[in-house]
Amino acid sequence: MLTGSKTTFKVRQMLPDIKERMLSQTGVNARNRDVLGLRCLPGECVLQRAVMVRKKLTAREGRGWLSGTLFCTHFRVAFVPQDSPKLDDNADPVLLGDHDVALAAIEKVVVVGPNRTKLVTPSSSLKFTPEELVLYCRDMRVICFLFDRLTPDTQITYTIAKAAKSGSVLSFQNAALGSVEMKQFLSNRRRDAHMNWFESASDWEQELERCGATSWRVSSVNDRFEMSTSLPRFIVVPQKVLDTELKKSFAHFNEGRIPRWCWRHPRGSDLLRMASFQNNIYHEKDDIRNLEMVLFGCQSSLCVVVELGEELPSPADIQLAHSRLRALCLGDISTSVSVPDDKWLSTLETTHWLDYTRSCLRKASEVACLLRGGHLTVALQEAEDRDMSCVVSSLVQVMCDPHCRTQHGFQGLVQKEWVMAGHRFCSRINYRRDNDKEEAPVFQLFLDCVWQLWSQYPSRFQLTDEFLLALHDSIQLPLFSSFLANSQRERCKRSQNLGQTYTPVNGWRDVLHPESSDPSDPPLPPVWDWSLQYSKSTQDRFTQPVAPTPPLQPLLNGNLNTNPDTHRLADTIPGSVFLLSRGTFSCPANLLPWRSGSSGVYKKSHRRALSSENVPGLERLLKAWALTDFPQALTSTSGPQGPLDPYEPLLPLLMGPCMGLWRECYLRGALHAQAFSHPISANHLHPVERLAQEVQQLKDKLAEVSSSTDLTTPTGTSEPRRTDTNLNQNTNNGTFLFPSSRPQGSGVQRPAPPPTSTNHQTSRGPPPASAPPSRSAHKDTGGSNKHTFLFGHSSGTEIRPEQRYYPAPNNAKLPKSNGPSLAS
Amino acid sequence: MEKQAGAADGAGPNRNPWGSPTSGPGAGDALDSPTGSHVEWCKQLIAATISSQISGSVQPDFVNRDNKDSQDEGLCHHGESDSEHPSNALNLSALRYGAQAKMFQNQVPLLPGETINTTVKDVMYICPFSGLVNGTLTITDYKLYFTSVEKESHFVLDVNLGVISRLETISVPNQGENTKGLELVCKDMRSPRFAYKTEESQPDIVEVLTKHAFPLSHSLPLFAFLYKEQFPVDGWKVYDAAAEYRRQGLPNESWTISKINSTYELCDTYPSILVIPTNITDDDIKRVALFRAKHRIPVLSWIHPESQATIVRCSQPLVGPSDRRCKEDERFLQIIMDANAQSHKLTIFDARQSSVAITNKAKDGGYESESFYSNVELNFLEIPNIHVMRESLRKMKDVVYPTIDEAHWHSVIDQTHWLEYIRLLLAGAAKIADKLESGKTSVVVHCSDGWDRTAQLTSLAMLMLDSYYRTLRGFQVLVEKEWISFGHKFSARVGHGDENHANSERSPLFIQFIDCVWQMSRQFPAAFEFNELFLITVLDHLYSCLFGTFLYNSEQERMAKEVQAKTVSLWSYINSQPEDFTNPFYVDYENHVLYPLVSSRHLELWTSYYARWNPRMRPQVPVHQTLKEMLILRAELQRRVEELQREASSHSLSSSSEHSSSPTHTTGTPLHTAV
Repeated sequence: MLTGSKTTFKVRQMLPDIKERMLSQTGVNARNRDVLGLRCLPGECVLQRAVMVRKKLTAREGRGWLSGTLFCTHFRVAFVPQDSPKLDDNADPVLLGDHDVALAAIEKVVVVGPNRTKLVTPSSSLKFTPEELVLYCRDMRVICFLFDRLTPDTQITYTIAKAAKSGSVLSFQNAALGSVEMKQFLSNRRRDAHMNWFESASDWEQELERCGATSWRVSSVNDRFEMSTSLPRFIVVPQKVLDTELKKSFAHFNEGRIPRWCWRHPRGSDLLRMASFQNNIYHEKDDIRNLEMVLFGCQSSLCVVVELGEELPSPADIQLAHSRLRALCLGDISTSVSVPDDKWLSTLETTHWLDYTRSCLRKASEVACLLRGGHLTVALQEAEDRDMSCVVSSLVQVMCDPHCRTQHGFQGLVQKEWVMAGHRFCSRINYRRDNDKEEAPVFQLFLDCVWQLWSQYPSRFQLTDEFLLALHDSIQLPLFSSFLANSQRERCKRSQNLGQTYTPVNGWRDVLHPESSDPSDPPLPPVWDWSLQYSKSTQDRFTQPVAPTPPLQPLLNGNLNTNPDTHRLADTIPGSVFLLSRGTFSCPANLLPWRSGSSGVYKKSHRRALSSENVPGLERLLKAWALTDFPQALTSTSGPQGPLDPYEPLLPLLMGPCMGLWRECYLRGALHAQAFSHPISANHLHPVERLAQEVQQLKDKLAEVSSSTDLTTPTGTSEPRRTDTNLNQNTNNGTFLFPSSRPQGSGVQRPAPPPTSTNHQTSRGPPPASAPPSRSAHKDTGGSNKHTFLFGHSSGTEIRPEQRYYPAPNNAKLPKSNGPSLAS
Repeated sequence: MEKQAGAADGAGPNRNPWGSPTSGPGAGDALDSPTGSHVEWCKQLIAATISSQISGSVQPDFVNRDNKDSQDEGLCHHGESDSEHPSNALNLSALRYGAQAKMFQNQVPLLPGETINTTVKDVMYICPFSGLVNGTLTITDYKLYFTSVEKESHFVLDVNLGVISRLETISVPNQGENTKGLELVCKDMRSPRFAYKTEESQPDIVEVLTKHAFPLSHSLPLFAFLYKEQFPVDGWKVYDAAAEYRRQGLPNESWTISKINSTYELCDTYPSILVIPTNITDDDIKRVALFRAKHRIPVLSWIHPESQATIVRCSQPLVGPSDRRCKEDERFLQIIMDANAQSHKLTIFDARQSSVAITNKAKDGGYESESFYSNVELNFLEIPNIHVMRESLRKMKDVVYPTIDEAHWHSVIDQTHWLEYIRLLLAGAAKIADKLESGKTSVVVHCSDGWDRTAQLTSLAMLMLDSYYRTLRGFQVLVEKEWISFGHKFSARVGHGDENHANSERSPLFIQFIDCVWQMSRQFPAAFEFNELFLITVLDHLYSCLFGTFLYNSEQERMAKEVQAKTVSLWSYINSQPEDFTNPFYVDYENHVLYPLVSSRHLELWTSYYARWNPRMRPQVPVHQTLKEMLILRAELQRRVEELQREASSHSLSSSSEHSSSPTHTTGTPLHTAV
């Protein structure tokens, strides 16, 4: 039981003379550290300030009010609480403080006066004295400030409205990152080596290695974006297809987006994605051979094409649903009319947002079930292959691959399936507000789907909803290279400073700082550089305090075909292809254009494989999912029978009650909801967080003590090692069954569970820059390849090889079983 | 430490010796059946609800190991106290020796005092989720127990008879001539159906069921009077009215603990001990009683420890169409106002809709007129009556059982208006709490009779105001006081043992209250010492008639029936194993008033209660275990740090590298024998 902490809430009233003193004390343009506590970025100017403002805290922040000073700079609206601790002047700059909001994220500025509410525009004039300032943000936050009743500093409302409206994307970027100091700072940032960036060929090879996809290779045929402008430089294709053959295939697909490998299920199925076929093209015999090889990949027998267009929402649908959801959750901004309470759920239903998340999850579940069946190729096909196939392919991997449920694995996944795969972030987010037709929050829909999975299986994720929320909010900041381009080509052009040929982005050339020696725009950091946005303590909450540790069996590279009831689809005629649509399989004649009758050439060289014999086999795979609806499946998920197969997909429940609204994201702004705005439990940590902190502190202490007394080095004998492993296992299980009674000082010698993020990194060995480890090495560490991260708070430090766990000789044994013997 | 470890391994089906006897809808080892062991099932259900608040993790093999251990543990227990816990022994054998399970199949775990009435073979359970299941049906005087060996997984359905609202014959097509169908419409949102052959040799199931499901209608005793379980803790001692008032700082100069109703002559539905103003004579009270419906005079329920503002409850004044006045009543309220020096006002919250209150005047009821009562402010909380609530829950049942509509789930929930009424209750209670806390003003709460909505509002307001009521024990006191002792008509509202299912007196008011508590616990996950399992258990035993706690309508009736002497209290069961019902992350927010968000966008349907019979609603991960694990981990780390620090200091003393002689005594005994 936790001991109670009594938190009292006080709103200190400043005496007017103090206020006067504060006002007179500082010039408006103070650098770096304002007297009232705002730590400016290099080059950042304060445009306006208002003292004695109170900020309304959300339920998550503890509710109530916090008094302090409100600033408007040309980059952000900042709020500095009165009693905020003094900041370390030498710390790296954080773009946004906990209470800040970037100007670019502000959608509307509204003031509330006695009995009225008004939208503030740069030109508007107020005929009343506002009491409250409400900022409606694009990320669905609503931030509310209350002015001092006696001397309201209301000028700031215009300043904010003006600054938020007038700034272009570039001026915003320059305000944040344009100063020489910031440029220097950013150019010295090191990339997070824990995650795979999928930028170089070796990154891709590393992924092939991780997945055990041996019959695939990385092709650099698109190195200069000549084959396809929207594909990345490196694509993964079957080993047996030569680049020269490959080149001929591009013309057969929309935008040249040929079938590419995404992921390999440990049971030997491959996930591919591709754009739709170019139809009016003559298929030569060689073309057909190549196309078949590319499509069937390494599974000669069976390919299922999953058409994503039909059942999934279009980007326009998503945009409409999202805007409805937004209107519902935030209310009608200018009139503050909101949906009546008794219609709330019905109105929520009519937004269709939850329907769309459900359909994405359903489609991904179907694909995951197919892949689980083993030994087939699933090719996701979408007209452009740049929206819903990003959603589905990455959801499938989140469901099936525990690595993708870690923070770094997830970041790599987004790199692979979104950033590199050419999701048109820039158009979809519509930073410049000049392309409303293209705008669609596809990525946000994906994050919502991941949140649904997370909320149903929280303990199977290492990342938390806070991470998803942080990512969600970052989308609205036009600062990150990850989101500011539509393809890798655009990103490369920008970073190579080839501005002349760079058409899609108009605003970037009008440089505001001519004195800047660097002709290029400010260097844009990737979104994954979290320290730019969030403090260490916030980042700590991106991962679970006690990380999930499914008991991974040693992963045999790749073909872990242990499924007892696999109905091998062996009797399939090689080259069968089926279409999965609306939950049923079919093999329409024109599925592959070159096989359809008109083409002619196909018949001569290939057997027609239009038999539908395999349909039942495939349907059985899908039924496996339906079966999870029945209690029998309970045994496999929560029952005591045996360890879980970590690659068993997390299949979400999609019934009405199971699809939740991401309240922490969409209802952050529902300020009017609270009946009474009394301080309740202001500013205390969530008990779980506090517990996690306490555990962490104890861990640290433990590490300290053990390092101070660590007089032993690991001996070569197996005994201390085994104890070590046991302890690690205990750590993993979070239970510490027994203290070791070994006199070898095992407790002393035991390294405190290191603050590394995932063991994948440790087992991966050398950092990605160097060559990937040999396969055998990978196998050797298989025993330790167990996500043994306990406290997954990434420390951001480099990989320390000494943190590697030793494989356990008695790995399979439960600690309990040898507990008494050790103890006695 | 031992205790916590024990609590953590709740996954074992036989964890507690009292587990199976008391579980309402299930007492089996059938973890995988939709109606499996009650505690188990509920625990799993809880997981899903906690999970969105708190991220945590659980290791599947932890669960696994737990099960083994608790089996072992239970086995010892079995050996020691076999005779006392036959049901436990049965479960154990089934678990431990899988092969023998079938031999025990037809044996039914019985509670102490329970007897089997009839056993019928070849009964078909018509499962709405997986079709027909053939098995054996046993009817005891407490429950209906259906087991099947048909499928590879042993199927058990356990329905206690108290939960049955009515029996209906249904038609069963394609099952032969003399097959009859039976539907048990239950009060807890499910309706299991059976099909059985009618044979001369077998007693009629419907007849036996009717007799024992509705014992009071057949001049039989309720099962609570037959139940013979012994618990180490006596739950009847939980509530002592005088002690509770003393805790609140009473009596004081303005309020006195009165025995005026000790013989229930003043008011037959009130408790014997009442807190009334000091400065009032017995004669005046008697006159006030005549002016209040059912003689339910204004009495103190709760007093603010600082401001001395009070929550006073009563029934409606009998104003009538002619606007009658009662000087004593007016003076009574004046005295209540004066007892609180902080405010010169008194606020009356009438829970009813104002239109209903006005029509009540025609029926000789009414409300206090602000012109007759000086400095009184009257508020209507606009909460509909018991019939509206009953209808709302009926609609809800159609929505959640047996099938759940996927596409229109949200709008059909809206149409039940259930959450709307929950919102009204919470908003009303929050208003009351705010008036006391911020306005420092005493409040008087009433509805018509002052035993339904009044009890809901006062108890919720007290829960918001007083952190004591958020503890496991305090909540029991709250229920005993505001609901049981003040004469909420449990018997009439629930219909214990009564076959008249259409009785318009029935209404799910207590369920609404528990739902509101659950909503609050969702919004303040660390503020309540009890967990969701506790709330579900309370609701299950509201119907089960296993415990005497919720029987009868008033304290007077309970005294007459000697409930305390002849039955067991629900709190005996709960308090004998508090670890199962404890929220591991409870923080005592002492002196904190909790104001829940009452917008419907912050309320949720309690699906883990209402929709729990749908097997698809299973939660994915038992997060509650994770939480306990973290506590254990912390304790273990704490211990280890201390140990190492000791070790370090001994090292620095010896200043040698003789680690081989490092102290074994510090790493002594295994810590968690139970885990």
